[in-house]
Amino acid sequence: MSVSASIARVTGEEVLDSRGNPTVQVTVVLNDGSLASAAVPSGASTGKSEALELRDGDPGRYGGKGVLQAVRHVNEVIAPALTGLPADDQWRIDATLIELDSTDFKSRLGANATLGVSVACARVAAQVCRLPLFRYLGGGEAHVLPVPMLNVLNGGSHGNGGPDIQEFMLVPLGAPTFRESIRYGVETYHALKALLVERHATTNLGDEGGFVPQLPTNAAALDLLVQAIERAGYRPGEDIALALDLAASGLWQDGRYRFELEDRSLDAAEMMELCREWSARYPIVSVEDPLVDSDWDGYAQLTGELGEQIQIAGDDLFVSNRAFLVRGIARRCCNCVIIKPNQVGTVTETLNTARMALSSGYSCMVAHRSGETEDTSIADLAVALNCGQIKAGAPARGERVAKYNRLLTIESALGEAAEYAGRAAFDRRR
Amino acid sequence: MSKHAVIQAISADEILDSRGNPTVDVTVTLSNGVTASASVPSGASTGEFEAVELRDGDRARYGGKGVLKAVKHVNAEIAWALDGMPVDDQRRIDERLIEADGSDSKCVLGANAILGASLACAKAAAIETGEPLFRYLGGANAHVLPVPMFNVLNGGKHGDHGPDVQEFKLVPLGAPTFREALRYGAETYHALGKVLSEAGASTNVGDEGGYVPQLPSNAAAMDLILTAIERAGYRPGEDIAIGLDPAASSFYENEHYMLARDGKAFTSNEMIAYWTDWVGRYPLVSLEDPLADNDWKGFAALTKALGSRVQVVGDDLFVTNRRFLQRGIDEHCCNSILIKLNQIGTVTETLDTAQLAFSAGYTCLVSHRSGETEDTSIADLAVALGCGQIKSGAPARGERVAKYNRLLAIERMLGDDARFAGRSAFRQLQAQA
Repeated sequence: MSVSASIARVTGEEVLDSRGNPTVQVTVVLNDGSLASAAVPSGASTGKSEALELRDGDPGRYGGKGVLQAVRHVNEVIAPALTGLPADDQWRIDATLIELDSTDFKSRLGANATLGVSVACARVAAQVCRLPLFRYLGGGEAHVLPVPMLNVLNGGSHGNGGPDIQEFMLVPLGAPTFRESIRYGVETYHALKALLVERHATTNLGDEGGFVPQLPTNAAALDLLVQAIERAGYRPGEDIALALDLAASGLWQDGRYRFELEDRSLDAAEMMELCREWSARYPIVSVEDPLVDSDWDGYAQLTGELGEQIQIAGDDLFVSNRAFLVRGIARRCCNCVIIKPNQVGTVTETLNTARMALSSGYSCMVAHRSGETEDTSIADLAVALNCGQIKAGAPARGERVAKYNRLLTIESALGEAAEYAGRAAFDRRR
Repeated sequence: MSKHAVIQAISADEILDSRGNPTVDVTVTLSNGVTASASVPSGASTGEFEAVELRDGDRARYGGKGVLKAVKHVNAEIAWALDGMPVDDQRRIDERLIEADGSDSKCVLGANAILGASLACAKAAAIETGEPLFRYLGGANAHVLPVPMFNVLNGGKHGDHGPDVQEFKLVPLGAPTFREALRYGAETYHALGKVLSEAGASTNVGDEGGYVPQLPSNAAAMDLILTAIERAGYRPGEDIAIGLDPAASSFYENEHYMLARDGKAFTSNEMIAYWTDWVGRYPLVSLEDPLADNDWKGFAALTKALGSRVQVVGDDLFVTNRRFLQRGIDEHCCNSILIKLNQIGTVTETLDTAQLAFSAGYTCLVSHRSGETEDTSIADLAVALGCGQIKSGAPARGERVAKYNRLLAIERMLGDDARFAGRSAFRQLQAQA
């Protein structure tokens, strides 16, 4: 294929993310003048074995969170190595990045440096090939619009003063199209806001755009969501289901799961019982990180017991890393993997992890981070994978909405070829 | 000039803004295949005489807030009106849009439809002429980077359960460059977050990215901000000054200013005395909408009393409209005007209003709305005008940060030509600058 343009310039820059923290933006210019940029997100609740996000540590700038070192790595180490490579050879570009770094977790160059370059290269190559990014990454088959998992109620480390559980998500799987699913979600989000206002609860937003009300219990949040769905005129479970991200590693204290709100601590068996009870009582289709990321046995047991009924998604357990996923597959832990490009640091590695998951009967959910930018590449990635699920926060805050708006554009561009994943994305009998 | 491509197609789509409300996104395609898109913001605290944002009113979709009608107007009336026009004749394009609408307030086609088309044309023309948008709009001398005004503490209609004053802003006018100004602001924003956390207050954010803590009084918010500036290692007034937007129309009832947080009800004169006290007490450089939008007499009195010490900005009073600004100039109300594209509805009218302001010795402050999108044209507009001031919310929330990130890119693009406005943006400080 490579008669196309080659890489002429790669430059990094320090910009801000949605929390006002510095992050890396990379611009790639080809020898035919084509140009594209990509910016890198950043997580607050990070898995132990994620690829390293390189921060300066200079307390005199941005409280140590500056990324000038990563920017320098882009400009001085990566740029010379990539100059002259064909832009549309993503595999070789990423292999070069991996080799330059030559550590297991991108700790030398920083995954923020490598991912920015990797995505910017993919984007400029798509342009040169005159393809939308999702088509360039996913090929001619890419046509499935994902079900948006809208994190409308935040807690844990993403929301100050809210529930212990990090994410309560609306899953509008009964909508006929992606465009309608967004409307279902937005109307319910606003109905939830109205309910909170009636109760004189705060409606200010957490990092991912969800509300962060003070509630008596974590289950009260689930009740509130069911009410909001009904208030907006939808049927819980039929039109809109629910999903949770327990981020249980964040609850893990002294060998138990600590729920501050209810002033109680659960052991692993009780935690599994809670998942069972909630999935029977509420229309829950997906539970993410229900156990601490070291409890592989627990995951295997929970998947064996509940895996036929609901999706059990592993994030901290797998950190989008193929090696961890291989282990998970062998031990039958989870049936879904969360895909976050910045956990692993290149486009190719991200695609490899997703391919392995999909070919092993796991589902994939493409995810944003709590610190995001206006970059929308994860929207394209979700369509490229035909994986049918994306979580990019509430339908509020520009950095979240940008992803959903991009999916609206992709759906329009696909026209009749577009297929909305809907309920099939969560079909456990495949 | 018009050797350039002509407009071949215009289409619109309903997308979401940063509050999850529908808004209009317009794409223009030129005869040579160039395309550009623009999307339109939406205000919550709107002036009475703003151009009309057309909403469907169909309760079954988005609680009546859908914009399918406006979208249809772009795809039909506006597409016909602009078909085949040279894209680089912005004034004629905007005249044609105004004609096609035919009303004073753009209520027929909707200012959201019209502005989307107007901006998308400007962006397409910039691409076509090979210029960045700020150069296309502002000409070869556009090189001044604005002082960012960071709304880090929200109240009023933009923040639930917060102070009465709608916006408390950090103004890092002592920074040497825009890039450094952004750092000053972000560090102080995070210091404020820490100060609030330590006090057990909430750090969740309002519509414009600022914190919305429950506080005993409006003055307590000022004290918090001063503490944060110092905590971040900066000097209040020298490195970072403060700007306020009380949005006084929103707490004006029965000819009284009702400050619920302070438990006070003020007459116009008492309100002016209150602000005079604050100007003496705090490093305030800019005061926006300190009085209600029908209190022209009060504005004249306040401008006379305080205009040499602080920038007095009219937003609800002028709604970016030449007509109201002219009245303000005639009656000596304010010495600065807030510039919001969607209050008036076309690029040309916005530039005309700014021109009138400059010629009367008023400063201009380019502004976002509380409902925003990832569209960054206001960043380019601020540089194009060389007005030296922009407010685009806290350095948080993607739709706010996108504008600041765009200004970083512009500063880098300009290289040695770039000048950060700093203190010189404010008339009352120019003597010292």
